[in-house]
Amino acid sequence: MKVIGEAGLVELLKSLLSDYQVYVPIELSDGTRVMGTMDEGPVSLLGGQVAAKPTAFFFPQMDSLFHFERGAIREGASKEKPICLVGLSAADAEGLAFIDRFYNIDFRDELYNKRREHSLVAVISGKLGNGARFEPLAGKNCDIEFAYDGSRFYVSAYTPKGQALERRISGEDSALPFEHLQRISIAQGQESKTILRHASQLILAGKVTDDFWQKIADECIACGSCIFYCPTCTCFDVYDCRDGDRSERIRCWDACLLGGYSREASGHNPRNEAERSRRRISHKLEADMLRFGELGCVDCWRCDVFCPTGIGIHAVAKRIVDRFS
Amino acid sequence: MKRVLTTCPYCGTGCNFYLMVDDGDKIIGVVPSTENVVNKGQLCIKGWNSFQFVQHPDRLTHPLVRRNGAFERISWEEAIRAVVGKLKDIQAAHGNDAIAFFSSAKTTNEENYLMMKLARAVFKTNNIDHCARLCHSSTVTGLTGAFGSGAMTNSISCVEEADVIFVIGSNTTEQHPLIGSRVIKAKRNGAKLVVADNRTIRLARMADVHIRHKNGTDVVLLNAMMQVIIAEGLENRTFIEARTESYDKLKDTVLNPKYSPERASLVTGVPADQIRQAARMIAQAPKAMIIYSMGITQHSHGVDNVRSCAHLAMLTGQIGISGTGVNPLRGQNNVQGACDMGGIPDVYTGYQAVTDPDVRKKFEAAWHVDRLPGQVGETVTTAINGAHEGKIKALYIMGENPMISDPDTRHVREALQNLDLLVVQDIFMTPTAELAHIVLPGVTYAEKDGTFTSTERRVQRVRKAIEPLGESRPDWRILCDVAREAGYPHMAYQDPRQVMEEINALTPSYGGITYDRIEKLGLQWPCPGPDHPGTPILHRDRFTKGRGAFMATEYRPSMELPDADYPFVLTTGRVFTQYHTGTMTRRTQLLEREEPEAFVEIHPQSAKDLGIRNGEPVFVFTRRGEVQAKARVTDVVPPGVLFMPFHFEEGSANVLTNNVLDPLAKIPEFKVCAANVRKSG
Repeated sequence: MKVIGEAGLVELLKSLLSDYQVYVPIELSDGTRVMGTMDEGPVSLLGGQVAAKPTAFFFPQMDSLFHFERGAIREGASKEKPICLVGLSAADAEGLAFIDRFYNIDFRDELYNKRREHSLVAVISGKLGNGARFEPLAGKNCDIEFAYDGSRFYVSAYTPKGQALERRISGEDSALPFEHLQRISIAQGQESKTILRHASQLILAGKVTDDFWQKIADECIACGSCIFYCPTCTCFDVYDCRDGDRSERIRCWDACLLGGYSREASGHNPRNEAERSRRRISHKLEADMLRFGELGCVDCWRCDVFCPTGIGIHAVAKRIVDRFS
Repeated sequence: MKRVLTTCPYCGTGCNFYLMVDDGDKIIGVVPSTENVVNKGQLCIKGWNSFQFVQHPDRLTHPLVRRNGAFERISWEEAIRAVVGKLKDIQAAHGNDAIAFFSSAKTTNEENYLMMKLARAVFKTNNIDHCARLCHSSTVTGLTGAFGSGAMTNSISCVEEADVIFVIGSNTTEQHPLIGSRVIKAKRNGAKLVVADNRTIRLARMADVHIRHKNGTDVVLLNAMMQVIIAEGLENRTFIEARTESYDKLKDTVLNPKYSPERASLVTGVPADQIRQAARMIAQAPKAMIIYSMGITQHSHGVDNVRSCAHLAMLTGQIGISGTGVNPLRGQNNVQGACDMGGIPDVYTGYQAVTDPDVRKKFEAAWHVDRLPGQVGETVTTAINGAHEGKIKALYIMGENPMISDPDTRHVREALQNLDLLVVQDIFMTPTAELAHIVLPGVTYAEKDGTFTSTERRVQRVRKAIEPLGESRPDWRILCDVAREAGYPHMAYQDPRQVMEEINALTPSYGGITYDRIEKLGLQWPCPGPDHPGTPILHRDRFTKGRGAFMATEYRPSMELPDADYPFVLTTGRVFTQYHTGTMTRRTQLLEREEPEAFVEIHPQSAKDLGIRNGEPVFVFTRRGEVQAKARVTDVVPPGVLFMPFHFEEGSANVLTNNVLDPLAKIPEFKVCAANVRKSG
């Protein structure tokens, strides 16, 4: 199969700049790793999953729908080149597939699709973080995947766009090291979602009590981090920002765990605190299971890493399993 | 697209994040810093939404002058000339101290330094103060007296190491969310939690001991706890002997029978057993830390409250090591810095006294002036009183909104309207700016460089992400323009970095804190030299003043307690998604949506007695005035207590509060006054 080294991959990505806005994992000034342009900071392809979710390129924190002024609506002209994201984890790619479906299944979200439709998405997986992390292979949900074995990337293309890019890579070698990576991946993959699946079954069976959710709610400071970091979260608010006789309609990230998300005009809130904490988790482990037959959590671990009080989805799932199984 | 690393403009926790700026120079989001040791990739709901107010249409974008009751646009030259001309005229007619400056705990260290330099070197007055007066001035006085330094003794990370955490007068998960979250985690990991607050705040839900003492009875509670500790032989004698002085003063006070748990119970309403339980827990813990905030400080006896916390820590030896200490949580993003920079009437930078002739000589030389004023100046609260009396004729207010934040709004309005000159430098047209003669448009944290100092004494970078909006100018530039117009040539800087270099040279505790060294991560003062690593924990081997001092601290009741006409205690405070006078958070979609209206918490029994339903509009009234708010019937408050947040202009809690001050710190008694409530229909 095709293989490419780190330097070669960087060159390949640079060659895409004429056709795409290319975003790769970079280091920002204090070392925080995010997806960015190659001139924004030192390129960091081998550090593993980035912190801030790459899906934000298609569903940004603040987005302008249109301006209107004296009865006329003006939409932003998008003359920008399509987006190329290189460096998603397999979990992020699964998250992207999830929100692709969300934004198209019952209703086509133009704002999302405008950015998504001509984009190119690549996963980087394998032995990353200086050998300290093994990030599972995706095998799908992207155009092309670069699986690193410690010295080179093994290239797999899954779509015509991906194949076109793959054709530009000249290096070739035995697929055996790649197959080895695949085996590790499969073994790991069985493990990591087990606790979520078990918790999901318990929730679906109605075993988890209200007082459990109240305890979780007590420990939640409603910072919103779990939702703002989660690749499958798509809560948004829409509002008009007025400036004299000019107005801009804006879509921004929202968080279902906030009280105001469901508070009625009378002041009554049909969801109490325990309900709101429960809904955040049960949406991923119960509702999505019922609707799609699969968990809404892609196992990226961001909410577990970044929740200030340690009640990310895996932590809560473990507490559910410990108490109710 | 670019991402610019900066420090959050909201609270004193000092989280760091990157502002995301698109190619059209619009700020479109934030990315938390994963490397900052304080927030580690986390943010609270305000931090995640800290940018929408920056490019809001309401921003002040050009200087304004009030003519014939309306604001007119004028040029910067005209505005600065008018400000300087009028200030000088007033000084000529009424003396140098007829004018006063209010600096800003929201602006940078460099700007606070420049404003106090402007007041002192250019306008020759020590009348410079800022909103620390309203929140932690009692901390500065109390802890400086006890320890020699008025700052948080430990670091935020110490919360994770404490065995017992005593939270008194701090709703930590709402006001310092990423410090409160550490308390929650510590509790889950086995730490014990004692919460003293008569509201059932979030931390109280998981507390091992929840003390619901009557508002204003903290000295009784703490003295009683200390009596228990001494009576049961739990005091740390080694520490007391080696590290403190005047222990007799403490003993003589707290061992008095009036502070027995049983007698204390009658005053505080706390069961005697609980007092004992809490006292033992703290004294016997390997590591116990005290966290406190406004519930301790904002009283007419705030200094006494702070001293009592210091006494408790010294009595039990729970200070000078990690996981312990006396930890006042500073509210504003840069209130610690504003104090450190000498934006207060009695000191220059680093708490060097204006009354000390040697110190004055040092600053006279550095600032190239013959003589600096040697008398302590007016505070924010006494200046407002002075304006009311006609003693203060001019106020130059930067980034401060006394019409909403100061006690007794009617008094504040009369005071401000009595001035010959009110200059307000701000980012929005606040109720205070509306009363100004001249309004100068400053900028937000996103439009300038500088530094903020967090509650754990960490000096961190603030970086410019976008150009100032319209004709607004970075506040440091405005202050330099004023100085230049006043004929003072020694306030000309290329950039804030140069200002920090000047601060380094004059301030031992900031000596080694340079822009180069804090490029990636801030340093905690004291940091006297270029190789000094900074100081996470104060008072390790000795207190800043040598030995920690005990004082005889007796209970003095709050100045206005309930009576037949006003049978409730009104206490004021904050909510999670709004910030202070709401100028920033109320212009942010998610934050305003969460809590859009003024409300008053009232206990179900009290509500029932008055026939008040949840959600109905009511009038809350005190001897100062009357305000309409929505009733929030809840048992979070105990019967007889009303709680109102002060964020809402249209239902402003400070219309009701009592302008009585702690005699030493001059902090108002925001936390206790007598009130009543009635249905509005």
